[in-house]
Amino acid sequence: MAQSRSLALAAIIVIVIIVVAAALFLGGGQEQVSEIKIGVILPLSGRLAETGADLKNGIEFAIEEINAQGGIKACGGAKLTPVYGDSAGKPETGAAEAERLITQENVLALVGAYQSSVTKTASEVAERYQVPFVNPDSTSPALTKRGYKWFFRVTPHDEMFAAQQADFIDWLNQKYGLGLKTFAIIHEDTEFGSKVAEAWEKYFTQHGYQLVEKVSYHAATVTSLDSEVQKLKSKNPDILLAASYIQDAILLVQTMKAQGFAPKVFLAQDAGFINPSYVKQVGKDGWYIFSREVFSPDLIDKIPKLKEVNDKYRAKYGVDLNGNSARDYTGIWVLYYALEEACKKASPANPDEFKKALRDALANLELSQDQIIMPWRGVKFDENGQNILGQGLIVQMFEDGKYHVVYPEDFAVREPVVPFPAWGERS
Amino acid sequence: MAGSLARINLYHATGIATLLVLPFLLDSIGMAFYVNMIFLALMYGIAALAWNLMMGYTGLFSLGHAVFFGVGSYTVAILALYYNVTPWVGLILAGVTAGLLGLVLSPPLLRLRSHWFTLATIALGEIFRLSFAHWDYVGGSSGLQMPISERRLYYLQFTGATIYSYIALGVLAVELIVLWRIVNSRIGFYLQTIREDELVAQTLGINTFKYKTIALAISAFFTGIAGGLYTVRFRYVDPFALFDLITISTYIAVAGIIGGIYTFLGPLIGSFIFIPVSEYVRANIVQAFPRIYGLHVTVLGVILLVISLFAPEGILGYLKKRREKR
Repeated sequence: MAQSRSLALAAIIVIVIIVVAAALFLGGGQEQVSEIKIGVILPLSGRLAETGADLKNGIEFAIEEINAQGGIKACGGAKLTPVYGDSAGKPETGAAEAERLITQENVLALVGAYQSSVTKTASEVAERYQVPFVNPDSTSPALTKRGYKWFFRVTPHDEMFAAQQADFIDWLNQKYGLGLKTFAIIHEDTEFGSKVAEAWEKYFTQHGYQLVEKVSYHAATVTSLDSEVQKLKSKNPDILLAASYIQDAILLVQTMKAQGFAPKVFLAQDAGFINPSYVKQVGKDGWYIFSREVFSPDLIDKIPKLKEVNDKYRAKYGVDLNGNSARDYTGIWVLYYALEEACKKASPANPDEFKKALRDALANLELSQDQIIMPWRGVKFDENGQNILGQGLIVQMFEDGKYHVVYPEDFAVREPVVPFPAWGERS
Repeated sequence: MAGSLARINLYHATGIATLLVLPFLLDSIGMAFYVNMIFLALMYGIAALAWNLMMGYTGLFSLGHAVFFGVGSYTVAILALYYNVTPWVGLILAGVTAGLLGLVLSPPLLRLRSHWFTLATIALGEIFRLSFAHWDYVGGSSGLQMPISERRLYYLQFTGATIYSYIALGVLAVELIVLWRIVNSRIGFYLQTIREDELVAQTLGINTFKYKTIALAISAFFTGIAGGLYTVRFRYVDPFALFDLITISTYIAVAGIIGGIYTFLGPLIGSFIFIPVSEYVRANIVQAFPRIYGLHVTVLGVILLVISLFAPEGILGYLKKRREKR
């Protein structure tokens, strides 16, 4: 009796599994040319969920705009349909989601994935399946050193930022005759800080500046930077370059003040220095420090299109665009321009041919500054898929406690205050 | 309780048949997400079974199995990337490296008892994460990615999870046979004696350190292979994903606890419940409530709470108890 009962149970289990699988199969997978499906992989859960929500807003907003203005015109007004995949901030989940979006949802392109580690695995899957991957927001230089044919990065990467910072110092020397010659680096020691320091060393040395000191510390456990700052001060560098997270950035500024260390230029790398809680806590001591940025509210006065977009965006989400939402918004528009071109060559009804056409369209794409809302010279990909017209911004904190753009000149709203005033000579 | 494999009943047969058919079936109808789910459940299941040799059989509660998992992963990646060793061999060497690491770590680790042992394993995971993040040879905090190769069979590079699922099934089969023989041998009974009372075991003349070391090494061996499977499947290793206290060390333990640590197959069953549920909840709750961060983790927490209240001995333990009552 027990034997036949377990047999029946076994049979039922098998049948249920087959039926469920079949139902799922029949439920999905219908295809129409009236929509173009794109897969979007973002950290929607996990530690970076809040950033992910920001990124998603930018994407959602761009897609709404595109669909409202008549979709992809060359494809008969086909609408863009996003299909979201949550990476949970993990490389393995990002890869699995890329697979699902490609094979189950039949997306024609992928967009994502914010964290460089997730972008690495997700774009590797896309490369294998030969699906165009547009990456608006990852900055690890390694991503465009892999020789991939289907990968296109819209944002500048960390080495480009470092090179631009060296250009900025050249510009300061020329314009303000500061005579800056030597530089020192202080950085936190995870991937971010170490890679930034490496790039700085490379580009600043190339530009003829002399490295006099390089110190690192571990941000998660650091409680004092006294000896580090002492070391830096003893070498008396003209330029101090800093890559820090939030608490250590505050500690660094306070220690410098306590020891009276004021190099002529104090230039930081984004991250902690531009975080709102840093800005709030550091207060007046943060004045006149430079930082690299990717975006700024100042740009509204400089980029005509941005004001209109930002107004609508704020009306919808209650916040201004920031570096993350603006970059992902731009990524979708870049994809849009490429889709218009691809639609002239192939039909989405023939996915394989269309994906190839889309890849070629991205590879040949040329956008000018007035087509985008980012402070870039435009969009044009090199053979590695890197946008070579992208650039960062240099901002400086002024007496209003806010960062304002001082470089490049096309986007600057203020003249920089140089040299960095000594701590005792401030109002 | 005869230690023979002839005790395979209809449930087992159904399970084996389903596992053999399902990846292929789901793949052929384009359900990549579910094939990946099966792969993950197998990968975690292999690690959870290995973990349970220490937990359920020896009474050593480890929350640091990410160490063996991660070292196995890195072994496959480094061998393939730097020495062109095929992952087919790499997978075995992943187990060997992790097993050896288990041997090396046993003198300091196994002198600690109960919660002290657990705390030490947590610390160990952190040590490995930070060390690997600062070690340039293994890619530092950027990790290592396998380049795309045309030698697909040699470098085990396939699209989708189907082929990897069958490789994992092969590993699982070997592991089940090895573990079954061990737990039903003299060693298995010594381990369970140690679990019940280490002092008594010592007075009985059992060299408890020796047998705990054996349990640790075997457990590390199979966990290392599970980590190797991660590398062949995702072709990328990085210290933050692999030496993770939550998504590796704790998930392995939770799979074991849900399934039932005092049963042989419990951890595998637990993995096949916990991993699909957590994947499904993550994928769907996030879509449905995109503005409530971490809701899916809360849902998982509630599920765990319910299991701990109504089936504290785990699913398989609960079923076993019910059957014995009848």
